[in-house]
Amino acid sequence: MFKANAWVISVLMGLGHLRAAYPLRDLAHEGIILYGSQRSTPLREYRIWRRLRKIYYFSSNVGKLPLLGKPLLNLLLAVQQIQPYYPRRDLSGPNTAVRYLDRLISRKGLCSGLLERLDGTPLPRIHSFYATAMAAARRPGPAEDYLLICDSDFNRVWVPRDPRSGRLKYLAPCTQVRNRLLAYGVPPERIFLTGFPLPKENIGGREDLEILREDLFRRLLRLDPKRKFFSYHLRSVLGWLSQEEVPQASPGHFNLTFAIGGAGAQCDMALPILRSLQQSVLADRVRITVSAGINKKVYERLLGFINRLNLGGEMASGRIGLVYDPDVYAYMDKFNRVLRTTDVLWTKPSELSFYCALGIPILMAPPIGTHEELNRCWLREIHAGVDTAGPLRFTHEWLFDLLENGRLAEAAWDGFLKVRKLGTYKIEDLIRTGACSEGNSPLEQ
Amino acid sequence: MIKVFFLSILAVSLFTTGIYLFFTLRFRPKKNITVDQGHYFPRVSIFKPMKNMVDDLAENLESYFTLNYPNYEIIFGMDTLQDATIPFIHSLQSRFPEIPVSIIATGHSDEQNPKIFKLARMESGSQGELIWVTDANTCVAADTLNRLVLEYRRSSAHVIFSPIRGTGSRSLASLMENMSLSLFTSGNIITAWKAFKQQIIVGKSMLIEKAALGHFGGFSYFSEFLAEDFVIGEAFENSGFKLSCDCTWIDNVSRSTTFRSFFLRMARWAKLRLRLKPVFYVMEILLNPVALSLALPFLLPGRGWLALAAAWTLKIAIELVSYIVLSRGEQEPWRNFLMLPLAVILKDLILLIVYFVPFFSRTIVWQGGNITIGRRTSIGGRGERIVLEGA
Repeated sequence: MFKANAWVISVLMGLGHLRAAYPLRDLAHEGIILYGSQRSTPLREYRIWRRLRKIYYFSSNVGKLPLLGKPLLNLLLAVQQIQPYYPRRDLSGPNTAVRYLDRLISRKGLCSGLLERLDGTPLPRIHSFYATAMAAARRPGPAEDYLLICDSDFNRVWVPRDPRSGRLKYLAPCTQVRNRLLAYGVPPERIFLTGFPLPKENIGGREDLEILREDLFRRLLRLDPKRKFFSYHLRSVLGWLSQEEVPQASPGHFNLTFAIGGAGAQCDMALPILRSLQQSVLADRVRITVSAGINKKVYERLLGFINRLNLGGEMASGRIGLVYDPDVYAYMDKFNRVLRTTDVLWTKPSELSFYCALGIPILMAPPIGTHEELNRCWLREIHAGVDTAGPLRFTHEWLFDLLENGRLAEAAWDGFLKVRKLGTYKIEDLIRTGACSEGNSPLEQ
Repeated sequence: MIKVFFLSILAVSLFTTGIYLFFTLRFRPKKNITVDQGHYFPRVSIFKPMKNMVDDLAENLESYFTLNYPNYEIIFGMDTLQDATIPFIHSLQSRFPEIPVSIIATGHSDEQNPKIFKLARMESGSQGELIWVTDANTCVAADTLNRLVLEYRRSSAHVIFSPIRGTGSRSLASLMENMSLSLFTSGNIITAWKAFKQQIIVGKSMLIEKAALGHFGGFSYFSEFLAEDFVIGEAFENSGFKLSCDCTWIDNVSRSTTFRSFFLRMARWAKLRLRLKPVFYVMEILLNPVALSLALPFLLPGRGWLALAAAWTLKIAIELVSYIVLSRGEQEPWRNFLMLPLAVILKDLILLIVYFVPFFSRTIVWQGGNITIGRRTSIGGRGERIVLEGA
């Protein structure tokens, strides 16, 4: 067990920022600080956080509003807009969001309660949300501040007004993020290409990655029932995963996990998917797990879909599963457990995009917001993400086509080969020694 | 124009009260049924959350030891084993040794619904396929559980709920409380269910399938809300589980209620209703014809008092029929008849005052503590429930 010697600070704004911080819990002094919650935040400041959360949840669902939904969504997307990376140019000038955040911190005292708490123990501080990092990095003191970027590309607001003179260090999950940080004016010596922190319980030891490799091999067997994928990649798979041969039989059932985001915006998709796959579930061709998050209303709606489709009995037999817990950490533990046997993760391209590094193909639901649009582009570029191949009501047709032609297995393999998976360990190295290697091979990254 | 509009509202108000009467009479308590020994009787765990003494406690509890259902256990949950109800339970245990009984000291939580806190702890020790939650101040007929289980089998519902009959009146305030329960509360429950298939669950009696409850992780799922009965019904309904009400009535014994306790209880329920269904609550004033008719003398100079008297007489007549058919048990004194007109008018005028209380107060005094409620009766008021620090 790694000795706790850093502050790990996150916020509950959806689940993404906390999901990024949770694998770092072994490092966390006094546990992960979930800032902006009623208990951890002074009342005056708590109101600001509550308002920010309301805006977040509203913007996640605004597209569904009748008539005004689309124009409002376009307006919000314009506010979040990320400048195109090409042509390469200096993007270090602050935008409106940077100036607004500056004002919130300096005039409204955003994060002042947090800083008072941190000042007492000058340990390194790892932030998974920009606002706490900006506030902490402005304060003079001996502690180092690290900001973990949670998407494959990101808005200028993640970098302070004057990026060159600050002391904030960055943990980049992928090369594209490093390039973007450079474009925003962050000096290279303050950027660490670590990878996104993934749960250790899904990886295993940092040298062997025994859990990841074993799970992935079993997954590839399930994802390639006709052995098309193996006909191309057999030697590569056996080599990287330290296996002797490919068995004839697939180990277990084909498992689909559909993850609903923290704001519950994809809940409506679950019904047509379940309806379409109903017969396949009953025939034991596929097992479905729907991840409801921590939202009771979402959980009840999903349970309602399942019961109304007369699939309630399949929950007892394990053919249908629901992942829910009102405690966000318990939920994440459950979700990570489910991922071990997940063969396809159907999700909007959020921070979960980085979970393709575990060798899980990402079936991409429609993105919400600019960050997710760019995550989708990134997943496409590395071939770890697959677009839905048809309407939801025909999932029972196209999903099995994707399975049988080996496309899902390919995506799983590409994610494993191309995406950094040791983020958690690299960040631990960085905190302990002040440096971390970027690694060369898929097993070292 | 205003006069016509107001008189129409008053007419609708009286008509709605009449509808309540119709449904409560139509589905009034039925005669005892006999047990068909050929059926399968799923084991039922009767949950009795207790807190101090209530009217007729011994008789109430005894009615649960004399049910003609063959397969059940009773689990009592209380804050501590020093609770004043313990001697009564021990006495019944010795008189009915064939009934399996457990007594659990659950402790108390200020941050959660106290009743749910108890139920969640009682749940772990229960053996039943079905859980029947009933309040300490309820009394049931010998065949009540049989009826509920029959309905459970017949309807394949996962929750069976019941209307409540107020009985045992020995004071003016208890008479008012019992009449309110029998006509207003139960009228709402039955009319909503029979006419609109809308559930209004009152926590005094809920038969719940344990396997269905398991989908929510048990009772603790509902711990953050004070109106646990409504929220349970809503959660089951939203989740596609069936609910049913076959109108197996449960008696609520209120014998020595004072004006103060009547006012506080009505105010407590009103506060919950406002937070649960604000629009419906605002319209509730329309269900009080006695209060509405106070405006008649001003609207109809000359004949206003006559109209008011007519409206009040009609309301008293409706309540009298309800009382005769529903509320009046064999042991109720004849003087209740004499008090009834006064009780009806006084009750409705007090309810008029109670109606305004929730707009000014969110604090509820219950089970020895002050609880502030927010939207949907969430405990703790307006704050979000993001209290998840420390991995």
